Amino acid sequence: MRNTTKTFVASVGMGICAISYAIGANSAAGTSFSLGALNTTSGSANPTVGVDTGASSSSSSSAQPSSSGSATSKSTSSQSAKPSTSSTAKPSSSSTASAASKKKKTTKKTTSTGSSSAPTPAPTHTSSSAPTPKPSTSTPPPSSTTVTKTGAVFNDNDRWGDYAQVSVTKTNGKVTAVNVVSSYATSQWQSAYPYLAQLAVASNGAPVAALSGATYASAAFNGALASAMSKF
Amino acid sequence: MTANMRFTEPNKKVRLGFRKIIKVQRGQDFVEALAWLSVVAVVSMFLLDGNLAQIKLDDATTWLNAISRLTALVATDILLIHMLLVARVPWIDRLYGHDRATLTHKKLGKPILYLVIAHFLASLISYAISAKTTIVNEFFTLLLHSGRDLLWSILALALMIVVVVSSINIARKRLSYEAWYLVHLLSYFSVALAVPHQFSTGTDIAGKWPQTFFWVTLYLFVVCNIAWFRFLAPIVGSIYHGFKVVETASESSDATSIYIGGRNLKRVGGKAGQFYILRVMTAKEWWRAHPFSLSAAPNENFIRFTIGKRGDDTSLLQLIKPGTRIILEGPYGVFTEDRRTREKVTLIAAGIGAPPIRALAESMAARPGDINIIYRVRNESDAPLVEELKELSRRRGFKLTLLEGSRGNPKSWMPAHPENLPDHARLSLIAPWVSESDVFICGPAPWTKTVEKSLLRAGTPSHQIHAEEFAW
Repeated sequence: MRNTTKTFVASVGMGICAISYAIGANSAAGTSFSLGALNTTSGSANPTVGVDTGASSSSSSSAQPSSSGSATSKSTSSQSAKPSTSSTAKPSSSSTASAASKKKKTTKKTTSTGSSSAPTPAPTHTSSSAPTPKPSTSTPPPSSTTVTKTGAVFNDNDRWGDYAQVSVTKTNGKVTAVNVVSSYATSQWQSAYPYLAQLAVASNGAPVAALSGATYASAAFNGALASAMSKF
Repeated sequence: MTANMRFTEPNKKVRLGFRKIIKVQRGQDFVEALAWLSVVAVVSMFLLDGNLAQIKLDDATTWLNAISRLTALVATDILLIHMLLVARVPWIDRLYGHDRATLTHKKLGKPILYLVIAHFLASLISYAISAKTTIVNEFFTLLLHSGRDLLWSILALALMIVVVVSSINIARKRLSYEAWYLVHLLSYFSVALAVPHQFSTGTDIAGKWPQTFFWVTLYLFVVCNIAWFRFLAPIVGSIYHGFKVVETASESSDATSIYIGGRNLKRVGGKAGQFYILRVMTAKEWWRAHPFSLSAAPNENFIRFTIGKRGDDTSLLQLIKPGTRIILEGPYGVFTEDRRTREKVTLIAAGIGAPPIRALAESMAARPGDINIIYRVRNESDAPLVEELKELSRRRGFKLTLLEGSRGNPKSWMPAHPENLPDHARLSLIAPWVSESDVFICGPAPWTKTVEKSLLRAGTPSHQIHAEEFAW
């Protein structure tokens, strides 16, 4: 190549790289997923430690991830007539509402957790994803139909041991909230789940695109999401 | 002997001047700029994702990840260019010639391997850090538990190391061409094995349409070029023309001319000075290909190669029987009149380098006196094509100088001189306008180098010196 062309190509190339770096840096701070930087962007949707853990649930909380999918979903299906069914991982219904049913559930749950294969790797992060009250769906239950279903723990035995379990809340047939009930991913990848949950609400429960850098967490999340959606 | 010499009409005209060289240079610039911009595109797509902005200095895995992904992306891009360079694509060949393309291909081999190894190590270490195990442990985890795609990609890396190691100069000298060739074929497997993990595990491509579009296009482009130009076109062309050996003729004690006939030879194309890669379709020989220059200007009656006895295969080729099927790949090379810029031409040949010079002398547009042929032979009575060159020079009015005898001193490319005159001085005596002529040199590589040196000393600008090396 002649020198003039070389200089030209080099400067154009460096220019393009610089511009794309700037755009990339901006978008990383803004919309797209970035490891670690996430807690700020997704703070609101970040499931906080459950308010719901009353006396009954705290007794059950010894069994770690407080809900195990199949059991709860069964119980909800039996109560499907009710507009706002309650599950442990459930938001809206005032926690006082059905103490009895809750109790029923918790007992069921404990039995089931005994039998079902609870996530073995003693997740260190589950604390952040305990059963939670929902942020947005504090909508009045009577007028609209709000249904929350919790899927099974999804663990595809990938090499990192990532797994997830989510509960999905639908109001009038539209997904209004997705909560991560229990999950595991190595250190900083854990922060992908809340973000994935946001994406899932946006996608109305459809599988979300894998996050760059969090392939396995995304896979686990999508599996769990599919499981929860199939319960409706 | 002179009676049955068959000469083709020379070209009627030729465009001279430097402008066409500038055109070629522009083309080269364009192609090189495109190649570099593809690297820039890859890097900028990486940056657009904000991958660099996410790096946190205190978190080793973030920057190891970035290194791993960037090296992988750049390596893949260069690897595809690297493969395209030896796909024998006509537009690359026309701009650079087979030899320069092959040399660039050779140069790129090692850097690609280094990048791929960097990618492998960076991912391995970053995985090991996040899984909190040792690197060795992590390596075995990757091997055993990470699924098919990654396992294949590790195998691909191993193959790539074998291929590159077999191609470094020391190994190349010890290996036979056949062994090297078979090992080199593994590189196709290596690339194919590495593809799945780029799309499945790689987070820079999956689910992002600009990236997917870019890479799929690039892959398809390279694969199609290789499939067509490297494999299908020669086969289809040879079947269409039905190339067969029609006649052989001994040219000297160690050289034979092979005449190849077929249908519609007019449409084969090719120019004097170019070469074909010849594959003899016999049970033993079909997988070994050999490059040979045309030893007669292209015409509609035959394609002729003159083959010197230089090794096992060329010795066998001396005995080839008429009727043998041939597959021709080509024509390749820029050692043609297209690169001529001046009215005067000096053609310099040594030994079995004579064939393309003979073809050029036959076909170049020239008036009597324009062309000066210098033919370096060991022994005039046993030099290939010497009679034909003599006859050509007689008919077309060219000056033919035969330099016969053994070398005067080891650094000279001419026979001994009684007064020990330096080569460039003698060259100027033989060809007084050598500094204003285009010079075409064909001979063994070290000899060619010394000729080039004395040409530069005699004042010929380097862009008027044309030599093609058989780079393999």
